[in-house]
Amino acid sequence: MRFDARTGTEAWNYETMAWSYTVQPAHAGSPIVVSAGRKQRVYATFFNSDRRPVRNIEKSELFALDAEDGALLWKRLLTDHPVTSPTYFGDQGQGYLAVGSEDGCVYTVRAADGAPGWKRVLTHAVAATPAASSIAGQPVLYVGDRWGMLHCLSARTGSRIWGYKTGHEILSTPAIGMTKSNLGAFVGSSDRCIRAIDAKSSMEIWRFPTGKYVTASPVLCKVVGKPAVVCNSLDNKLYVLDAETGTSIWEMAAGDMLWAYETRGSTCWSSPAVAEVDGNPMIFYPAYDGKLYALKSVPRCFTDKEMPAIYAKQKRRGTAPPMFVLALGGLLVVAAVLLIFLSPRRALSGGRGEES
Amino acid sequence: MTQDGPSKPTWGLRDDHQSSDGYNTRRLRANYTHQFNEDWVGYGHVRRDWGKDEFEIWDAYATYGGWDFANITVGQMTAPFSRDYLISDTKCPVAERPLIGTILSPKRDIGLLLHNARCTERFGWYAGVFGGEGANEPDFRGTFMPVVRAELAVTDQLNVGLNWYSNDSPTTTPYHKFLKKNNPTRRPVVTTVEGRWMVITGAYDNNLYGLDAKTGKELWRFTAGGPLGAAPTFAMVGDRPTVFIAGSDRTLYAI
Repeated sequence: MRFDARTGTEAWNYETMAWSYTVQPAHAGSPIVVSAGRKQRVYATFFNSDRRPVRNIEKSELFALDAEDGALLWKRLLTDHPVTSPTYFGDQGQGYLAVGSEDGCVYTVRAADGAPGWKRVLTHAVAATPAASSIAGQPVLYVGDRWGMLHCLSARTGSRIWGYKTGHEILSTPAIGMTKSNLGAFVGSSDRCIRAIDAKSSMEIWRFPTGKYVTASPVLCKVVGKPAVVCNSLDNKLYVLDAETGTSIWEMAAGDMLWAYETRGSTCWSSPAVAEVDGNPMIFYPAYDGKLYALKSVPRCFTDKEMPAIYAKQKRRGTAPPMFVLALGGLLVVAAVLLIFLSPRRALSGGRGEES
Repeated sequence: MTQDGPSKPTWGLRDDHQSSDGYNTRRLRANYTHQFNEDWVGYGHVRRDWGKDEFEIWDAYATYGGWDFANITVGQMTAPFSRDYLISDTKCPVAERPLIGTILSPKRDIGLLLHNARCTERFGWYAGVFGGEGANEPDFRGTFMPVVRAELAVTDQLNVGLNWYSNDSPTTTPYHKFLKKNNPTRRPVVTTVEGRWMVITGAYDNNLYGLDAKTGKELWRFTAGGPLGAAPTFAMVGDRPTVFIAGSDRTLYAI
C-alpha cells in the first residue's frame, strides 16, 4: 500500500486535458463516488479551455473513472460553458447524474454508460450544484439559478414542479431535510437571506436576513436534539439557526476576507461542514479570512450563546501591539515640536491648510 | 486640510453607492473640523452605516501646519497606498479613488504623515508610516507600511502622483500572492480514518490538507499542480481510505 488518506500520498491521478502554453485553469467540480455493484466509480466534471488561435477549445465534460485505479470508463461532452459538480440520483433501478451549467441548462446522464438523459432549460445560468431528494417516491432535483429562482424539477422527466423566486442569484446548493412538520429546502441567496422553503409546496417557511450575500450552502445538524441549519454568509459570520423557526441560536464572526477575486465558475465561497467527532458534534467553518475554524457545539455553549473556537488553523503571524505605532508617532511629534521651537519662526509657506 | 471652512460642523444623511456589494446603503455621517489655533487643525468624521450595521470612527486626526518644511498629520486617516492611484484631487491630502476595483481600495489607518502639498509651485510630496496594512483592523498584525508619494500638478485640476509603499499584506499584494495564503475552500470533508477523526480541505495554495479534527494539527499535505478550489470527497475504496479532489490543473487526484 503506497497510498491513502492516512499519509496523504497519491494513489492515482487523471489528467483531463493535456497541458499547453495557452491552457486556462480548469473549473473543476467536486467529485462524487458511487458504488456500482462491487465496483466504485468516481464522477467528476471539468470545464477546460484552451484559447489558442488555431485551437480554441471550451468544453465541459463529465468523467466516469474507476475509483480503484483511475481508469477512464466513459466521458461525456456536456456543453461549452462551465458546469457545476455532478449530483447522483436513482430512479427505477438506474443511477443518473445531474449537472447544472452556466448555459442555463440542467443535464442528466445515465451513470452506467454515460448515455444522455433529459436536458431542461431554466431561466438563467446555473452556478449551484443541484440537490437530489424525493417527494412521495418520485425523485426530484432542487436547483437554483442566477436569476434567483429555486426550481424543483422532476428528476424523471425534467419538468418543473414549482419555482420560488428569491431576490438575487442563488449560488448555494439547497440542503433538504425534515423539520418537525414538513420537508424543507434550506437555501442561501445573494439577496442576503437564508430561507427555508417547503420542499413540496414552495411555501416560504421562514427567512433569516444576514449582512451580505449568502453564497455558502447550508448544512443541517441537530442542536440539543432539535434540527438546526448551519450556514455562513459573506458578512464573515457563521450562523446556527433553528430549522423550525429560523431564529438565530448562535452566531460567530470571523475575520475579514483575505482577498476578493472571483471569476465565473472559480469562486472561493466555502461552506461549513458538521460532523460528530467521537460523539461530539463539531462544526468546521472554512472562513473567508483563510482560517479553518473548528467549533465544538456542547449544549451548554448553545444556551450561553457562545461557542469557543477550540482551534483556528492558519493563524496569521504578527504579535506586536498597536501601541508601538502610537509610541513611534508620539516620539516623532515630540521631535518635530522641539524642532519647531528651536528653529526661528517664519511665515507659513504652502501646506495643505493654505492652498485653498 | 481645512474642509469647508474651519469650526463648521457638517451633518448629512445621504445614499452612497457601496461598490463592494452593489447595494445602496444609507449612512449617517458627521464630520467636524476644529481650528485649535493658527497652527493646529483637528478633523473628526464618524459614521453610522446601516448596510454594515455598525458605527465607526472614520477619520480622527490632527495636523500641525506651523512648520514651513512640511505639515504633520497624526491619527487615523486615509492610507495612501495601492498601485492604482495615479490621479488625485489637489485638495485631497492623499489619493483616494481607486480606478480599478475594490480589492485595493484605500482604508483608514492610524499613522503619521509628513506632507507638503505645494513645496514648490507644482510639486508636492508625502512621507509617512502606517500601522498594519492600511486597514485599521482590530487585530493588529505587527506590520508597518511606509508610504512615499510625490505628485506634480499638471494643471489646476489634475495631479499626477507616484506612490511607493512597502507592505507584504494579503489585502494589498497582487492576487497571485494571495493564492499562496492558506485559504480553505468549499466544504471540508470530516471523516474517520483508522479511528482518527480528520478534516480534509483543499486550499488555494495548491495544497490539500489533512488535519486532525480534534486538535487541528496538520497530519499531511498533498501538493497538486494548481489551486484546489473544489471540495474534496472521501470514500473507502476497498479497504483503502481515499480522498478525491479535482484541481484547476485539469487533473482528478485520488489520495
